[in-house]
Amino acid sequence: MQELYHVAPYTGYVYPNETVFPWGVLIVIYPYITGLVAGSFTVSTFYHVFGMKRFEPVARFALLTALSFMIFVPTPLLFHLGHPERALNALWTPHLTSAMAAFGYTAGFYILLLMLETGFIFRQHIVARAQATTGVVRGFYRILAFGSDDVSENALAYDRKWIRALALIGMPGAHILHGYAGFVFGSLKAREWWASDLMPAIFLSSAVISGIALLVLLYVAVAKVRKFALDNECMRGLAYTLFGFLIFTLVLELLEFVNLIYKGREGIETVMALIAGPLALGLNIQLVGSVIPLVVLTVMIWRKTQGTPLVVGLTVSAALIMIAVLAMRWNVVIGGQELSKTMKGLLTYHAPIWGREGIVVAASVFIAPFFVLWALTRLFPPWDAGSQRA
Amino acid sequence: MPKHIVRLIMSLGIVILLVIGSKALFTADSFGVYGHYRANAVPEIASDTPKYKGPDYCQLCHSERHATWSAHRHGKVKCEVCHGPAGEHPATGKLPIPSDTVKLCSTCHEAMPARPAAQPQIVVSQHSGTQACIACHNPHAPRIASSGGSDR
Ligand code: HEC
Ligand code: HEC
Ligand code: HEC
Ligand code: HEC
Repeated sequence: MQELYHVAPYTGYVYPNETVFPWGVLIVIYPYITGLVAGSFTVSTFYHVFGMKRFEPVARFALLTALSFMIFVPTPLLFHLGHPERALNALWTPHLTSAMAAFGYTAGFYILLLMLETGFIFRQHIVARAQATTGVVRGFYRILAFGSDDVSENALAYDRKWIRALALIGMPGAHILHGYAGFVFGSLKAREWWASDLMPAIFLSSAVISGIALLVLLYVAVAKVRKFALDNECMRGLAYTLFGFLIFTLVLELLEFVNLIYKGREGIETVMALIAGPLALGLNIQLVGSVIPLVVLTVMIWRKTQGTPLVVGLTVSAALIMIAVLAMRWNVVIGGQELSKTMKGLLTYHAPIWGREGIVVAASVFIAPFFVLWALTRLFPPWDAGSQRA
Repeated sequence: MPKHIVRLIMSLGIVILLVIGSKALFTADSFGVYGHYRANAVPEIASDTPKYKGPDYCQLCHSERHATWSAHRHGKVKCEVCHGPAGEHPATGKLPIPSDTVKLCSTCHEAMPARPAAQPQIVVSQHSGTQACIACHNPHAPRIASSGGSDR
């Protein structure tokens, strides 16, 4: 019966004349993870490119965060498409109209860039480890050091140049990568809920806030576990950045929404039914999760809050923003498909728990980067002051 | 230039060569013969056997059912929409008889905003609750005669 249910309405003659959701929770997680990369990389460039000293305590950790999440960015797509052995076909035979091939190139380039950047920033540490250890560990570090133990002033000067250059190239790289995710949705003109030129910008700015929020949460958590004091200036810097990008995001989202309603193109009744019906919960989560942090951050910035209250306020805001952005991804990805392409009726999405596209897989894909991040901080300690400062 | 930078640049060069080499190696054989696709895909797809046979096929053996069906309201809804694709049926066995009719029928009949008004719609929870639809409706001749009007 279940199979039949799957086939039957699809071949029918009744509106909405589609029932299949090509994109499920996995594709919700996909732009979410990509966004976290863009956000944490942005914080790291504040220090490495713009030289904002207040971000120094988290700059290297931010880079490792970006790397660990970036490694997993393609996984939701591979699970979704289900033919990993064909993943590279789009790259071998690219087409100018293929957004997927463009993604493959950008993502591949960007992973490489993040690895190089990490390698350079931790090179002194890598060389030191290669000298201090033996056996396999030594071999590992020696490969990363390209068999060289040159940490002369001349070599370090070269490293610094590369770090800056890579971060400089990486900035547009990170933002193009995420702008692209928004483009993929925004360019699908058949989907009223997606087809907006603001989509890439919205994806980008919400990516940045989610990435900063993640960094705040991780920074606070690590400080608790490792029992070091949070850097007050760094926390304030994060609060300012979060505040700025949050406003930018909200304005863009509002503009897009008002635009959609005001234009009132064909099918607007269905959009309204979507907002009032299946999407009401998600939109409210998104709204509450953005407005409360906005208020909290405004008050904190106005009152120049410091110390523990700042930590509490910022942590709460960050947690809410993480949830709000996840809800936003859901609202875009699932919401857009809940509108029938004919705009004659709504579809209902039931997220499967098990299975290749189920919640369990999606949650695992989201959680896995945290383990990788933990492993990376073991190999390349971002916190102790002994390693190289860029 | 320090040793590690030289070696890094060399490795990047090797990576680029590897990528170019893999493109030559892994591009599908018949790709690009006619256009931006694999030419072999055309005969492969053409040799697939159709899964859907259409109601005329069913009429050969289930003529009675077909007669009822075609004379009534659901005559627009093809048999295989509710029974699934025939494929090699009957050689491969019976076709399924949908058991959960509430689910089957509500995919088309549950009231929904923006569904065209001409499409018969009910709010299932008010109409019949969890009762099976076929308790009252014949799936092949769904209109209930006592409600007045002809069944066509
Ligand atoms: C070549 C003759 C033939 C054709 C054509 C045919 N069927 Fe059948 N069908 C059978 C036979 C024989 C059975 C088995 C009857 C039995 O065992 O009680 C059957 C069984 C079924 C059953 C299950 C009935 C039950 O009591 O379990 C369904 C449903 C069904 N067919 C639907 C269809 C549909 C829909 C089509 C058209 C796509 C179709 N059939 C075309 C011969 C045919
Ligand atoms: C609207 C959906 C629908 C359509 C269209 C439909 N059927 Fe059915 N069919 C059903 C349902 C539901 C049952 C089960 C009825 C029951 O259990 O009383 C059924 C039962 C049957 C049976 C088994 C009869 C029995 O009582 O054992 C056959 C054979 C059959 N259908 C053939 C056909 C053929 C042939 C067509 C097309 C001419 C067709 N059906 C079109 C829904 C449909
Ligand atoms: C694939 C979509 C589809 C499915 C599944 C389906 N129907 Fe229908 N049904 C229709 C369409 C389309 C019409 C209207 C045909 C017309 O306009 O003449 C209709 C008409 C009807 C009517 C007549 C309404 C009237 O005008 O009085 C009833 C009753 C009905 N269906 C009941 C059912 C039941 C019960 C089931 C489940 C066994 C079912 N339908 C499954 C599409 C479907
Ligand atoms: C208790 C008996 C009963 C059950 C169970 C039942 N119906 Fe009906 N249904 C009726 C009667 C009687 C009518 C015709 C009177 C009317 O138009 O209100 C009707 C009418 C309809 C119509 C036509 C409405 C219209 O506006 O033209 C549709 C569609 C329909 N039913 C679908 C279903 C579906 C789908 C189910 C299963 C979820 C179902 N029915 C279950 C008794 C039933």
